[in-house]
Order: sequence, then C-alpha cells, then structure tokens
Amino acid sequence: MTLHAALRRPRVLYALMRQPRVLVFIPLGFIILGYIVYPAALVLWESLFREGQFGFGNYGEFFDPDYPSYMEALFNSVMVSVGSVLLSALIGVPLALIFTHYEFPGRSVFSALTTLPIVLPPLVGVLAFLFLYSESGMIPRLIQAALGLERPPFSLNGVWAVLLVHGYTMYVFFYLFTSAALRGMDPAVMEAARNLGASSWFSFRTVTLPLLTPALVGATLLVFMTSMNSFSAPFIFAGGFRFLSLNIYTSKLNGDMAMAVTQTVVLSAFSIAFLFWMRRYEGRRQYAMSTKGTANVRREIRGRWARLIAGAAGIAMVVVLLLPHLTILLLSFVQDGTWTHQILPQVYTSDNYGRLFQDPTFWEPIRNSLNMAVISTAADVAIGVTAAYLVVKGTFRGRKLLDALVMVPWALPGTVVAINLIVAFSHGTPFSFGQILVGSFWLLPIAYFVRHLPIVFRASSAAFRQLDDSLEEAARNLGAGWFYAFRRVTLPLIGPGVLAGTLLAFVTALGEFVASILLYVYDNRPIAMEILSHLRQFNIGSAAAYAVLLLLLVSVVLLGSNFFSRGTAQRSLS
Amino acid sequence: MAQVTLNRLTKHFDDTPVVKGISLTVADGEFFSLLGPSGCGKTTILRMIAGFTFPTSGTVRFDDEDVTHVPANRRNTGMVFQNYALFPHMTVFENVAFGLRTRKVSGPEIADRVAHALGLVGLAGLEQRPVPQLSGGQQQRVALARAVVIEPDLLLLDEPLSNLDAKLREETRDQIRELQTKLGITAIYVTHDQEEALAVSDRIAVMEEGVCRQLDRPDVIYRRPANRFVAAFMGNMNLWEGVLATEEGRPVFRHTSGLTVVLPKPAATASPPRSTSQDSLPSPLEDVEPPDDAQPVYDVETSEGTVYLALHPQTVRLTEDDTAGTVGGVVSARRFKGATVEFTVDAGGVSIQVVESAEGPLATRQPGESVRVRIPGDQAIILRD
Repeated sequence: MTLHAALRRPRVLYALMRQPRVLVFIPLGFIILGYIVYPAALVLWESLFREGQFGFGNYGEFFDPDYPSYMEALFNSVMVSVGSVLLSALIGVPLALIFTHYEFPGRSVFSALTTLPIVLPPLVGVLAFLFLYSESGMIPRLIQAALGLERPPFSLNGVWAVLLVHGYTMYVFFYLFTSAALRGMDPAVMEAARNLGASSWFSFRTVTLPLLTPALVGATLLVFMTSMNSFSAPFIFAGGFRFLSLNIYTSKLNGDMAMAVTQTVVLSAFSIAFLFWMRRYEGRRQYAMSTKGTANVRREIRGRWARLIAGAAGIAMVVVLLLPHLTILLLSFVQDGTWTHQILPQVYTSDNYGRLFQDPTFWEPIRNSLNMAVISTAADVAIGVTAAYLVVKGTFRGRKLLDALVMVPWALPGTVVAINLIVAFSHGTPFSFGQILVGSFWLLPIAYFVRHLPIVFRASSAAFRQLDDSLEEAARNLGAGWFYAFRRVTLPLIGPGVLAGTLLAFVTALGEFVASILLYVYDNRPIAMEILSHLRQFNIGSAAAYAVLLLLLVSVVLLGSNFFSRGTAQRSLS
Repeated sequence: MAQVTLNRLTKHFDDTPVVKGISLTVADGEFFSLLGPSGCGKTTILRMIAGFTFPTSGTVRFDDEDVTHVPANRRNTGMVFQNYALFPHMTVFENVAFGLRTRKVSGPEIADRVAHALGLVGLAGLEQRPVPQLSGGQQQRVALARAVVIEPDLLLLDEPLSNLDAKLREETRDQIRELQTKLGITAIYVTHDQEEALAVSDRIAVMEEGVCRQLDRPDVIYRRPANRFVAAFMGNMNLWEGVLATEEGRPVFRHTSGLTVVLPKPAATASPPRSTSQDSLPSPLEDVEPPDDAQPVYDVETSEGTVYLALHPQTVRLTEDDTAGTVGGVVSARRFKGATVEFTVDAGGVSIQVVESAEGPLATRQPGESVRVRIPGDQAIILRD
C-alpha cells in the first residue's frame, strides 16, 4: 500500500491528525541524531583507535607523565578559565551593584555602554587588543614616548593578554546576570533585613549574596565554558603557551587526527562535567521570588566629591570600553603597508572602503557570511522552536532526553563541534544523503547551525515556559480557531523571545571564527577568515575595514532586536 | 515600648508632595491605624517611621529621641511587610533568628526566643521548614514572629493581611491584636480596609492625598465622620447633597430633589437618642457609648450653601406607615447578605440605601415593588465638606 493510498483511508488520516507530532519527530530526530549525536559518538569511537589498534593508546599519550604537553594544555585551559571567571566577576558584579543601587548623572548612558564588548566578534576584539596593548601597540608606545622611556612600560602578551581579553569581553555576562537578578529581587527583603537591625554589609552578606547565587552560578558557568572554548585570544596572543582548544587545531593541521579527536573528547568531557556540576548547584539554590513588596529605589549620590569621582570613573570606564571599537575604526582608514615602525599610523585613506564599490571580490566574504548565517539561523529556528515547544508543552516520555540532546552543543567548544563534523562527514553518510561534506560549502553552515541551536532553543523554551496555557484556551473559548489563536495570542507572546534568540544566533554566526578556521573552503570563506588572511599579509587597513563592516552588521541587528523585543515585551507584561 | 510623635511630616517624591504636613502622636502601647485609599501616603508615613525613606521636612520622634535621620537598622522597630519579605533562602528558624543574630544574641538564647515567638504565633515545630514551602497564612505568621522576637519598641504593619483570603484575614487580624495587647507593644497599622481598621484599632487616622482627614476612636469615626470623604470611606452610607433650612420652626435638610428630612434641634444632637424601631438591628451604634467629645453637628444659622447629609443605611427602615418622616419609593435593587438584606430604593430622584434584618417583615420586598422608607432625622449627620 502506498503512502498515498494510506492517506486516502480516513482512519489512517485521522490517526495522523490526532498524533501530528509523530510526523514532527521524524525530521527532528533525523537532524539531531545525524548532526549532533552521530558526529560526537564517532569522535569518541575514533579516539579509541591508535594506528588501527583498538584501546586507550591515545589517552595513554595524553596523560603520559613523561610528555606533559597535553596535560599542560589542559591545565592551562582550566586555570585561564578559572582566572577569567574571577576577573569577569570582579568587574561585572560591582558594576551591576552600582548601576542598580545608585543614581548619578549619566547613569543610564553608562549602563547602556557597559554591554558594548558584546558587539565585538571574538577575532575583532582580540585584534583591537593586539593593536592597542601589545608590545608594538599604540598605548604602551604612546606612554613610552610621552615619558621618554627606553622601553614600553608594559605590553600584553601570553597568558595575561588572554586573561585580559577574556575579562574585557566576558564581564558582560556577570554584569547582565547580576543586574537581572538584582532587578528581580524584592527590595522589601533587603528592607526587612535593615529593619531587623542588619548593617549594610551584614545584609549584603546574609541576604543579597545568597539570593544572587543562581545568577552568579549561571554567569560562572557561561564564562568558564566560553573561556575553555576560547580560541581567538590564545590563537593571537598565546605564543608558546599551550591551550587545549588551540592544541586541537594544531594537531589537526599537523594531520594527527588521532590526537585531535582524543583532545576533543577530553575537552568535551571537562566541559560537560563542569556543566553538570554547576547545574546541580544551581538547581538546588533556585528561589522563586514572590510578588514585590516595594518598588526599586536608587540611592542618589549627593556630595560634590562623590559625584565628581563617580563622573570621572564613568568617563574612564567609557574610554576603556570604547577604545577597542575606536581602534578598529581608526585602523580601517590606514593605507595597507604604510604602518610599520611608527607609533601611530601615518597615512590615512578611504581606499579600504572604496573597494567596497569597485572590487566585486571584496563583497564575497560578506555575502558568504550573510548567506551562511541566514541558512544556519533558519534551520536553528525550525529545529529549535519545534524542539522547545515539544520539550515545554509536550507530555511524551523522553522530553528530558530531547532537552539534553539539543543542549549538548552548548557544552561543546567550537573546536570540538568542528572536529566532530570533520570526522563524521569525511565520508558519505545517510545523514548527508551519501555525500562527503568535508571540502564542500555545506559543512560550515552546518557547524553554525549546530553551534547556535542551543541559543534559539533556550530563548524559545523560556518564551514557551512563560506562556500561560489558559491564554490560548481563553482565545479558543472566545471563538478563535487554532490558527487565529496562534497568530493573535501565542505568536505575539513568544515572538519577542524567539526573535531575540534568532537574532543572537544570527550575529554570532556572522562573526564566527573558531569553527570557521577549521572548516572553511575558498567558496565560503567568511568575514573572519578574510580578516585573518589580510592580517597575515599585513594589510591592516583592509582587515580593519572588514572588521568595521562586521561590527556595523552586528550592531544594527542587535539594536533592531532590542527595539523589537522591548516594545512587545513591555506590552506583553502590562 | 515607645510613644511616637510625628511633627509636620512632609515627603515629596521629585516635586510631587505625597505627605503634606502630618502631625500626630501615637501613645505608648496604642494600636494605631493609618487608613486610606491607595496613594494617600499612609505607606510612605510608615516607611518614614521605619527609616526606609527620610522626610522632606518635619521630624519623627520615639519618646524624646529625634530619630528622623537614624538609619533603619538602628531604630529597633519590627516591621511586617505586605508581601512578608521573608528571606527565601532561609528556614523558618533562620528567618526568625535573623534579627537576634544582628543583635549578637547568644546561640542558646536565640533558640529559646525563636521557639517562644513561634509558639506565640502557633507555628511551633515548623522551625526547619524552608520558607517557600509554607502556606500564605503560615508565611504571614513567620513574618509576625520575626518582627516581635526582637522585642521592638514599635511594631509596624504594612497591609499585612491583604494577601490572605477572607476567612484567614479575620482570624489573623484578631491574632495580631491579641499578640500586640499581650506584649504591650505600640503598633502602627497601615490598611485600606475600613472594617479591619475599625475592628482592631485604638485610634484611626483616615488619610486622603497626604492629609489626615479625621483622627479618632473607631466608634467616633464610624458614627460621626467629620467630612464627606470619611463618610464615603466608611462603607455604603447614604450621602445626600442639599441645603439647611427652617420649616415651621424646625431645622430641616432639603435635598436637591425636594425631599426634606426633619432634623432634631441642635442641642438634642449632643447625645442622639437610641433607635427605637421595633425591628431594630444589633447595630454597632448601640454597643458603644456616645463619644465624650461629641459636638453639635450643625448649626442652621451659620450653614449657608450646600451641605451634605450622611446616614447609616441600617438606621433607615422600610415601613408600611404613611406618617411623617417617611417617603415613598420603588425598590430598584435588592442584595441578600445572609443576616441582612440591602435595598436600594429610588424615591423621586433620591437613591436611598436601606439595610433590613433578613427576618424583618418587609425584607422580602422585590425590585419594582413600592415601599415606604422611614428616614430617622435624629440619626442624620450634617457635613459641610
């Protein structure tokens, strides 16, 4: 009996209509199995073979005390991640406390600027730091010239440079998480503590801090993972210093796939173990905050000196935050090949942008990045929103498993995702319809899709979770058909959340560097790779021009996302 | 234990005045209520007493000490918040013990006092329960125990019952009063519920837009509201607009629609006679002595222009008599309340609220039926604003 004939029989059709999710599971399962589970499983399997021999030989080499280079890389990765967490917390948490609790001139402007590092794609941020603070960087040499020193007073390199870049880019997580938690906190609880005789410090220690724990755990997790996963900062700054994510890349480049996959497994295992450890801690200490007793009140900074200091600190902060962006902008006007030993570039030109209109190949990387971001994000939305709906609103068994599988790529560093895909699709598989994907256009968009699926999935699950089932029921009760209810009630309510996740996935794909460096081919070389290749040829101006365009693209999308989601979110709350 | 004195207390938020020069004294051991609709400034006053906000001008004194600018944590007040503000990450015991810990009380003493406080509110045995697992009523009582365990000079209650259901609200209300009496603490209670305030308070300040409109004992406020605002706030009082006049040598109130109510001679109103209706209700009016400070409530000679007549609906009666002091009308609404029935009677453009005992002979009258209404002029209160 053909499918067509089966569908003509009303009973079968009826059964399918009653169980439409059965149809949904087929593509969903195919994609999750094919592009997440199968590649990871294959990597694990391959790591168990050394020169065709099954066993733990690769792991023996990794953990060999006589050749500690792999262990050293692992140790360094972990230590740098811990350091990044501490540094980011040290910057982000106080900023959040200040901006939430105090009112001073320019507060709203400063607090908006605080999230600036987020628009810097990884490679671009690192480049800015390189030109600003490295040995030949502008800042140390300017200070040297100004003070007439023999040598630059300081310069960034090695592990400290990596840490500083991480601190600069990742404190935003601590800032955002802590601010959100503080805003969600009931100020009456703090007032109750004061009323019962607690000093500021005592009530901070015994009430505020414990209530911030979930947010701090969340931010710690995010920073630790991002840091373990970090590639561009070590890639540019590490020098002789070993990092696990960088080591994987080097092993792959040297053709040592066995050790590349083994390190991939170790890195994944560490990331996932850390994820679970923190998750358990987070779950145990989650408090549902009930209604708010009183409104948030910001304490105004009065005294003239205090205001002066606050203002000066604010301006200093803005300068530090904006310098990387401004540096990139400045460099984009430098004529290629003219900046050699001078402190500041000497020859400026608009040629780097002029090529936008003259050289058709100039557009290619931008077009490639946009294409791949659109393709991968569309797939993220299709799979991520469906999975989120099933996990949140579904009632079938295995919901937890689906949840976990979709979130796996979140725990996997970009290098790992790339290696997984290389291993899985270096030969034809049913999931690629028999095609070899390595060396084709498609592997990179697939990597983007896999890496950013959790972003869309998480945003959508949160939106679905906040959606009260009785709203849709109310719409149905008032006579709305299924589709009308979806269009007028469900969609407007989940829309902002889903959109925010989608746009975030999109901009992250635009600037992606880690998986790109392992998977790109000439036909799909993305912006980040073009920046790198110009840099290698010392075409600083061209590299920076691309970086500026990337920054612009990212900023426009993020601003739009803010604009859209804020309006609708506020309407849905009131 | 403390006496609280507010002296010309004002508070502006930005440039909007919320509290406009409040002066009052709460006596030692008194249960004092701040009553008013939302936005009247009552919570702001409480928060200034607690030290969470500071007045724009004026002073707050506890006994003889000026505490206007003393930080909240050095005032020794115990506050119960509207949403309880329990520390969600602590157990019941830890919540109640918090104020003792900040006071550096020794461990064994903390255990004793927490146990005692939880016993007072009937929560003994729940010490180790995490707070989020408690019901609303239990959380409320933990908040109460937490506030009294520190033996505060002053107990502050910010709408503590508004998150409870009706039955629990009454129970808890009485429990709070009982506890306050037992401990002899001065209490300041903020509420928008007039019944609640009447039931528990020694004295009530009725607030409107940052101003105190009447400050007195509950019975006085109920039976002699000083102005239209207080009268309207006290429930479904009849409140009619009209003028005072003299008719056949007797003072009368003339409603704008023409209805006249004969008023007793001013001298007689100093102590209004008890209601003598045959089917009289056990009205709260009859349980209390007339206020010491009862004053003549009107003076025909000086009452030029518009005045208002306020009349409690339970003093108005449905009747079949067609005698003086009655007026004919049509029942326009009937609400059965169990022990009583509320009628709205339309008498030629005057809407009259009547509360009858459900057992009364005329309590079965239905909307649309004609009735007569006896308006007891001797119970009327004449208000000028």
